[in-house]
Amino acid sequence: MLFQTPEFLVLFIIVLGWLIWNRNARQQQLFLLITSYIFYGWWDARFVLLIILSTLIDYTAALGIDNHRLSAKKRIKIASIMGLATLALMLPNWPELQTQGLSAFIDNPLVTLNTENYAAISLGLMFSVIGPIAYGFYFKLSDKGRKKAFLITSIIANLGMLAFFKYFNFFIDSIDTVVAQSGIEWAAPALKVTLPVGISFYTFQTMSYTIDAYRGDIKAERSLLKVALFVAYFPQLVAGPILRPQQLFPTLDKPWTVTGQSMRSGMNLALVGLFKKVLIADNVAPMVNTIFENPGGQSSIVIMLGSALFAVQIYCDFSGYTDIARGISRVFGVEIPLNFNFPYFSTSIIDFWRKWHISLSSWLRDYLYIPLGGSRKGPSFTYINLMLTMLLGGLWHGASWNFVIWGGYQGVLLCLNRALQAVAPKDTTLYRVLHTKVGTFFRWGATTYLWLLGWLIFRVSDFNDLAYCMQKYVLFDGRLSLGAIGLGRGSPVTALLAITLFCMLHLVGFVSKRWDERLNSTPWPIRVVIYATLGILFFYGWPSQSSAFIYFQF
Amino acid sequence: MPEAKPKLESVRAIAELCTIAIPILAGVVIAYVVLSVFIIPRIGFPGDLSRIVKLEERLDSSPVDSNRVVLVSNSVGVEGLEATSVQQELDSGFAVENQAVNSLDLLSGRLYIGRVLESNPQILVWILRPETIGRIVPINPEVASAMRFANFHNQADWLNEQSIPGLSPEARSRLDATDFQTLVSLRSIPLRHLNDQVRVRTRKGVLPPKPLELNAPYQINQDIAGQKLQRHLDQIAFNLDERTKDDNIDGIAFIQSTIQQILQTSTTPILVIAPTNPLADEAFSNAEVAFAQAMNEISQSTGVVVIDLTKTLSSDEFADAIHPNRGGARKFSAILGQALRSHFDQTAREQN
Repeated sequence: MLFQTPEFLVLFIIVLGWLIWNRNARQQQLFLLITSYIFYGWWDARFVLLIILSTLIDYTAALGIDNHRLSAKKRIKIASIMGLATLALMLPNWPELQTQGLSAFIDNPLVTLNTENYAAISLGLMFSVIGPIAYGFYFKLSDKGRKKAFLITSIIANLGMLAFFKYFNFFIDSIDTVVAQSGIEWAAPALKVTLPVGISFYTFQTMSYTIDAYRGDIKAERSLLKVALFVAYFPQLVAGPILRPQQLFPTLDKPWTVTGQSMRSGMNLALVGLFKKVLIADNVAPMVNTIFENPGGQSSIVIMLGSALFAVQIYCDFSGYTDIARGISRVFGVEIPLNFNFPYFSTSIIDFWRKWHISLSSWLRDYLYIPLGGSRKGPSFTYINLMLTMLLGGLWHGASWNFVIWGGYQGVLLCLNRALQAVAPKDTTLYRVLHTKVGTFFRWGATTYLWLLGWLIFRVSDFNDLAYCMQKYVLFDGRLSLGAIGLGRGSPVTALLAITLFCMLHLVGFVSKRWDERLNSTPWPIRVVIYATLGILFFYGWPSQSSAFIYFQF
Repeated sequence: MPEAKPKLESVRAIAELCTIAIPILAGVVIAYVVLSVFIIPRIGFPGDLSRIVKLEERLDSSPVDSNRVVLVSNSVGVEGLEATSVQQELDSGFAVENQAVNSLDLLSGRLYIGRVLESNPQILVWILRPETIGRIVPINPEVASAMRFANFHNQADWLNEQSIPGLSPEARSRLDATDFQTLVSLRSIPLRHLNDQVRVRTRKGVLPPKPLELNAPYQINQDIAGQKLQRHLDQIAFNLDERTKDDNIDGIAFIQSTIQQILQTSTTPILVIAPTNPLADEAFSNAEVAFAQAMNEISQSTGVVVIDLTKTLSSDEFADAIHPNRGGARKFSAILGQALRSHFDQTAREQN
């Protein structure tokens, strides 16, 4: 379910009404969980099974790590939930209902079982049977052994799901390419796996729960309902921010309260997000697609413009989503942390990664980079750890080699940045020069040039096209004509208007106050005029077809 | 009273929501009123959409003559056909109209032809290009809304879902929409209009669209060459690959069924294969052969006449990769007129 659709508006109003009317914490949480599953299942009801599986594994694992043994009754309850969820989500013909409608579902209410269905049902039922047995076995191990066993089970289960659903096709296709070139005959498996929306986000989120429990940073939550809601909380479920347990669990100890202040502040933030997504990102997107659909033959200036346009598109799309998610959650009285902090004003790559997709970069730092050793083992290991972290971070974004290349590129830039910091510490002349006004502008310009090149790698997946685009970006060809964009194709005037508006508003927001904060403190008569103006802009600028958020594909 | 505070906060929350939602809704209403009362009546529709919306006016103004010959095509016909040049080759009993409109594809063309046929022309000449045998491209939603605005939805038979494979539910809902829904779906007209105005004013080679023009509705005013031309050739080759990859050739059956629909009326359909720029031969050679074969099959199965004008123009007679320039238009039109006259003469001899 996309945020900018009528069905989401209905869902939001229903949830809002419930939270206002019902002051019981447990009932609020149960309702939120059900609506979260409905929200997620709107794409494909079968995907909910994966969230339930991930939730149950990590709930039991964290309790096991905490040496809290579930009673037999509770274990049977959990196994039953898994078994029933498996049958309820895999046997009815949900795909038919969701794509063809009720009449088609009535004609054919049960799905025709194929390999995928059998596999899913087997896995679900296997968990229900093997899970309780393994659970009991782990408690026979030593304290350290038990904790490790539960942690490893959780990590393998989550990464296994992620690897299968996200990377199976990628690895098979890559092997197929290599084998084909070597002349060996082999038949690639015909299985084409569907990627569940948001799987990268919620698997990382659930892993942080068990890892933090293992480290002793948190106490395992006894309530299955709270853990389930932590995993499936709908505002941030499909595209983050990736929450940490400490950021949501404390709020679940008391009922959530919708106040006048939370409503104003949250709705203003959501409106800012909607503005960025619908009016900027979606109107820039056709122009970006026109440029990169067939980039061969484009001039350098068009490629650079395309990269800049994509930079605006992806920022407005992703930060727009985050703002809507944070805004909705703020309305409910729950604060989700910031995920973007004006990254395009960064003056170094290290600075950029502190401000772009903060929840992911901090997750990679805390759960990958630091456990690998971080910067504690000398410069060489620091660079190796940085490269590994960023390569895996790139792969996280998508099952395609250009994302791996992008991750590697970011890793190289981070290493170079670190090396430069080592060469020019604070008491050197070079440092002082680089931190004058001119020096700062130079650093911003260089950083911008570098991350724009990174966005090119991120956007263009075909290797031949990517090689062409990178060559054109780095080696300017002197052609100044923009005619290749084709005025009249893809409405470039609309895109340019959107860009201009974005640049002006973004600069003002960075220099003075964020726009949602500005709206919060504006007197109500002026706010009314602003809201009416937004209504007019939304009417004329809203694209005729809702487009999904870019990060949904991750 | 502890219970009063949460209730008061709830009331405040609802009041805040109203303070936000009501002005936004008011803004939307104002925008709708401005669109329907000022923008559409005064500015009209941009570019391609205007020629669709004004079709009824053109049909009303066309000569009341039993021997009307209507030319239907996409931009190849907009740029490459001169009705008067076609008419000069035919005898005085014929009145030729150029009802081509930019971006007309098989699906939108089917609906457009249905509307044209309501005016009962004697002959309908449908000019097609090789890529039309490929994957059927969905109707642009705004084109569907423009067709609804121009009352295309009244052609009940032509909108029958069985006869229009590939018509998406969204396009169908736009064609069946109410007046209110149609206007809302055309809300991006001001921005598109702005885009068109900038395009016309900043590019020397582009003329303003002429939605009521029945003879030669040209918009391209200047030939392109060098890298720009190569870029266009590459784009056309890319489009052809995209449409026909995986041997996806749904278009043949679609053209066949459209011809069969036309044959059920009193109008005689004639298919014409548009000229190809010799510079695009390398990309199009296989497609041209496949297209000619497909047209042959259609001719044999339906009895429709197919006129192949693929190799009639030189590269100098093209403004870009696919559109004839002025000289090319005159030549193409004259050749088409001669081919039509030969066909009519032969038909008359056979009947005698």
